[in-house]
Amino acid sequence: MRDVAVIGVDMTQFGRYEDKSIEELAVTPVIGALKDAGIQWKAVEAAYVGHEYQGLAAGQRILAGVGASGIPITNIENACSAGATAFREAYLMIALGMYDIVLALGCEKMDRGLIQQLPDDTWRTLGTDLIPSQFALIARWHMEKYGTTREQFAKVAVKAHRNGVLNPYAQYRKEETVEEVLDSRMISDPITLLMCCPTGDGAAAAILCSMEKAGQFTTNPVKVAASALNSMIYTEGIGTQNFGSCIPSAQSIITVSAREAYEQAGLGPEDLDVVELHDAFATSELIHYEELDLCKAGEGGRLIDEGAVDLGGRIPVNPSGGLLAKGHPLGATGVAQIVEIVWQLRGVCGDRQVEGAKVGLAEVAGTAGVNATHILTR
Amino acid sequence: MKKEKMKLKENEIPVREGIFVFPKDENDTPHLIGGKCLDCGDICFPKRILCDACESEEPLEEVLIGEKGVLNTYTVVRLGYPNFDLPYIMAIVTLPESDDLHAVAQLEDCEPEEVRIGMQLAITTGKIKTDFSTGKDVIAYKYRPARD
Ligand SMILES: [Zn+2]
Repeated sequence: MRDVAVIGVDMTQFGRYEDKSIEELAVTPVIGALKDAGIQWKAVEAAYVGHEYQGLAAGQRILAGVGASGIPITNIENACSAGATAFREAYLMIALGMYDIVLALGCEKMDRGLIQQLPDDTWRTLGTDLIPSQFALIARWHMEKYGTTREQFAKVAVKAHRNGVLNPYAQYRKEETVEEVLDSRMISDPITLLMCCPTGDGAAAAILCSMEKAGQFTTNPVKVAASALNSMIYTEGIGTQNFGSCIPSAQSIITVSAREAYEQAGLGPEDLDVVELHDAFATSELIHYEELDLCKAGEGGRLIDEGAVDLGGRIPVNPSGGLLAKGHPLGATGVAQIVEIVWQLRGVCGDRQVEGAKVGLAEVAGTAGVNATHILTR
Repeated sequence: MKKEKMKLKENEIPVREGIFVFPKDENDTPHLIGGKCLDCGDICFPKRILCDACESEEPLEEVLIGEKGVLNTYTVVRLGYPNFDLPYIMAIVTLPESDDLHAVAQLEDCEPEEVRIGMQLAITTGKIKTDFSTGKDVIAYKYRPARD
């Protein structure tokens, strides 16, 4: 396997773009990432485009905007990990020596309200597939087992919104208090409205390049140190047998994915400087701390209480504002997390910069058992 | 499941087949349709094609389970699909027939304040939602607090 670098990134601010088509919206960060890398579109040898609901050959429609260059364009649907999977495919193609320069694009335009899951899934039929409710079940279990409190979950949302204020790319840039989070509309106990990520529109792009050629374009390449993509594995637990959400255990898909990534990178959780993780719900972020081995099982509440995950803390999590404040245009999210990590490692994040960040992890999960973990270093 | 459909009222239809069965007679209860591995004995719900716990190549056998269970975790759903009567209690029920065997279910006959993790539950059937196209009540398995 060859070393692979990220040489150009860009993203749109996440939000509502009702007057823009997906083609118009998603081509913008492609142009930005090309410019950032200092390359022409004609230098790109292949493209992977992650999205969930953008219809047939969305990647081809979008990239026609920068020119019909005849390259292979592959569309990837992989639940909320679609963007991260596009990035991983781009990475693998370069690592395996097929190409030298590849584009990974994640994009989405979404309807408002609840995301409709699988059309004829057993749990949909029974009304037990609602995403907030699945995470609420896990949150309630965590409260019972470890004494985690509603206030601790609320603090995760408060942190996300505090960071979102500092991020010009975030959909929501407004501070919230613990009381406001707890008093917002109850969605599925203990999850309130402000503990849920919003739906929205957005796109994010990354140009990947073989490390041996990266020196032609940049003196400061960010290295892809690990790429793990996992589906559910058999485990004695809630997750596998019922639905694509895992109650954390030694066999949590997120833990399996993270440990695989740590091993690939030759690094451990203690080496991380910054993390962008899948906080679709405030409750899930707190449990992800444990699943990513940032702390021991049951200590997620303490991590947020102590401020360890705040900007300036021991291991800042979601300095971008995360899905909760930055937004979650499904297919765009995985690439946008990587864009944030690249910016953090370059030290260009301004008020939300994690000082001296050298190692960053991006993790994104998806329904029915998908999880992607990437580690980037400089 | 087919002949038990006759027990449904005029305005009721069953949820799709393969998930649970209605009682055989007055002394019976509804049951979930699980899958049992003929080699290792592991039971799963809903029934899969092949065993995940061992290397067996034999298709799983249908087995009726789920008469009783213990509440593992729950939530009160206050925002959901429009054809569901809100709020309702959604739970993970731990079943005794195999290790770490669970079913997701709506709870019935139970107020949100009464729900306790660890409480004993019994299977029942009831309305889970309204059918979009016919307007009829869709009947499926549910759980209720065990009263005995
Ligand atoms: Zn078996």
